[in-house]
Amino acid sequence: MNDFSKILELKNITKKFPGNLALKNTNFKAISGEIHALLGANGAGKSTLMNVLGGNIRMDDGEILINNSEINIKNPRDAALSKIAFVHQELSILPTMSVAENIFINKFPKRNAIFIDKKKIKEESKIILNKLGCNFSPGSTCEFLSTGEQQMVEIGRALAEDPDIIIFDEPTSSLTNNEKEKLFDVINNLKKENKVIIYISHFLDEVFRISDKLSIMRNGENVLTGYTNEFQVNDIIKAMLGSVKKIDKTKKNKSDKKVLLDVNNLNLENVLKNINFKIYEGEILGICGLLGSGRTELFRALIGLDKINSGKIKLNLSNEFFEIKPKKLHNYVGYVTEDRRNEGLWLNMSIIKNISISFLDIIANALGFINKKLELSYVNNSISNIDIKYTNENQNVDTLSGGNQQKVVFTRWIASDPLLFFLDEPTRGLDVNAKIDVLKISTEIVKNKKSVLIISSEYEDLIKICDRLLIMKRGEIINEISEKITEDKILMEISS
Amino acid sequence: MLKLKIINNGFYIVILMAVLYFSITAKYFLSLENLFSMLHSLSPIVVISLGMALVILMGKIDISVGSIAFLSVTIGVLLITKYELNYYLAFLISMFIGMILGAINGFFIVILKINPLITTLGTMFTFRGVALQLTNASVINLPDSIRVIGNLSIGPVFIDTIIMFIFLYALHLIHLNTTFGRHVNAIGSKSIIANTLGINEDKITFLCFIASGFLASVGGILSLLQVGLLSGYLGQGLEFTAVAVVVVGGISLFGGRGKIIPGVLAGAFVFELVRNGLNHIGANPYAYKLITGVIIFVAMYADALKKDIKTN
Repeated sequence: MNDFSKILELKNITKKFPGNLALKNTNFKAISGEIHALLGANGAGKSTLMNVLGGNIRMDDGEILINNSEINIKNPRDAALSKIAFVHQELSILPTMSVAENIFINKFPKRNAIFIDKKKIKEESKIILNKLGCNFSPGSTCEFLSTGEQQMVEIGRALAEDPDIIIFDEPTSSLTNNEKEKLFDVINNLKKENKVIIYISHFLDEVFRISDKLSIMRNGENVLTGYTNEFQVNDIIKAMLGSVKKIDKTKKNKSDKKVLLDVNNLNLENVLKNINFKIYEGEILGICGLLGSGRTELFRALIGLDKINSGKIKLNLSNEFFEIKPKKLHNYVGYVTEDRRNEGLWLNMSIIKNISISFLDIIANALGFINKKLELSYVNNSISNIDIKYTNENQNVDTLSGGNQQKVVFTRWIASDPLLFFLDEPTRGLDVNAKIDVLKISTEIVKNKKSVLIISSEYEDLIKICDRLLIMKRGEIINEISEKITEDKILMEISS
Repeated sequence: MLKLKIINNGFYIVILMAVLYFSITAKYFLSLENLFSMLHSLSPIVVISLGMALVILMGKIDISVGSIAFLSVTIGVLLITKYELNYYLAFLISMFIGMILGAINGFFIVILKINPLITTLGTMFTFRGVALQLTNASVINLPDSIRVIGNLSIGPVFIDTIIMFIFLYALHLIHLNTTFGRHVNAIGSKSIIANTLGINEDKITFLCFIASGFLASVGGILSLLQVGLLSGYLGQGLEFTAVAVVVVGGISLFGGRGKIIPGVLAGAFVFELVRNGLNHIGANPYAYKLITGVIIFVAMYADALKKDIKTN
């Protein structure tokens, strides 16, 4: 058990990304034997700062010091050499390989120059697993473990190199309550071993429960630091959001309260539990929740991309309610996926082709030949309502900017005239103007008695356009905000 | 879990069924002599499949192995017949050529970043074309002294069977017990993550294709020695047999799954068993194609099932 303390200091760290100053002269300090929480809204810079420490990103300026001597971290190996370990939010487990192999994948103990020491790997894995309170064997294949167990393996991998500084990035978002408790035990034990522990989290209750100190980041700066027990929840939220902003609503007037879609008891084993909700005609219903809460999975299940275990869906068609199967519902839904470059567009095809795909049956004759003139006129008609910046309809979509590409995806779906739109993170990666355009399109869509279901992690966007908001957590809808949606309310719900 | 165990060891079931069937229907099938004869016959394909297994474990594929075998062996044979080079030296050069041809594949795949299937499809035709050009597509007989080597045995066990087992065991050890082998598995398991973890996918890919080329040439030499002459058909279609052997043996085409022992041996044994058995009962030669087709189909289906079972 080593006695000597380590003081970790990050001084004046600056990091610029194209169009975004992510870290502005950021300062951060943490010491051994303490759990130091790092908080902040999306984009505040907490992950960026820690990624600089972990060697995944290189800073533009600044210093990193351990016990007053400067260290140079250019890549994850350098970080490991400085005894820094990073447990990422997204697991990097090799699924077909065993627990022991995953733990030692970066540095296999060797028996001699050629062969790895399997016995030692097994023994050391057992020791690490015991420390983590895990009861699965080192020989288990990782793909058969639960997310929580896999996360323990990932922590095991971090511990295998005997680090002094450990960073946990949103470690509990995909864990069950039992797994969370186990994790807290592990982290507390590491604290007793005098490690420096940095804990990034959205969940205020966890932060209050296990952290000794906390730092809050906003807009790339560390705005508040101190002992956790000296803070109130409100102080923290205020520091995270800055002054309360007057948000300019681009919302439209209230809709007719006619139900368009009614979902009852939707269940998908291990993914969605007891989903019940309604959408009204002309309504924009928002869905928010953290990574792993099941939002995208909900969309996929509703339109039959993943098979559900139970549940009833009813759709209002010409003023009558019909029970409908997910695969059939798909015919009435325009689904704008999360990942437009991979799932939404054919990048090397023209704007026209990307749009007309949704109404080929109308413009093709009995033999399947497409009437090009008709195609062009329909496409132009669809585009005319949406301001897409392009030179020529025949240019390939990969030549368009992100925002314009997103508009092309929208245009395609609008052209197919569905009853419902499922938008999954539609403003991701877009600049401010493009974001506003996309949000405007969404509010235009619902003018014709269509409804929009929108998933977003950009709470500002949700506040701007949603009539109601559903909060999801671990596959369930835990709450609904139907009046005066504010960022405070959202954060409160999410962190509960 | 039981389902997975059955799928992973399916080849044992097929082997058992085949052995039972042929023992009953064919007179001299179930004998030690026949067993050694089968092991002798499958030695070349096992060695070639070892190279294929390595590449497939990494999540890639090499369909030029048959042509690499042919070209490297052709050069060796020409050195012996035209230039009267010492046999061992000539075959050593063949193996070296195999490595170079593998490196050529590696170059296209790693440096030029061309898809492995397309690359090896191209080299499959090119290498064979070069070899046919060198021999003018004629058959070359080997001097008698060499032909004897092909069927040498120590007691009932053939020499090439022993060579096969040596390579089999060596590759098995390399796959399971070296950092290199574990990294091959990691890349096949999920290459994005392997890269994030700092594993050098390019370097390992290059080495695996060189190994595949080397093993293809060794297998080619074994095949040549068994037949006793060099024909334009040496190695033709072998690449597909090798893939079939690997998949039937439980090594997944998706990468990162499977073991070399028993996988490659069992996979080759299944096909050899069927061929040998059908031969013994005097079956229609097209029956072999049909049955192997069914076996391959079932193996591919099982492989796809394996991938789905894991999502618990």
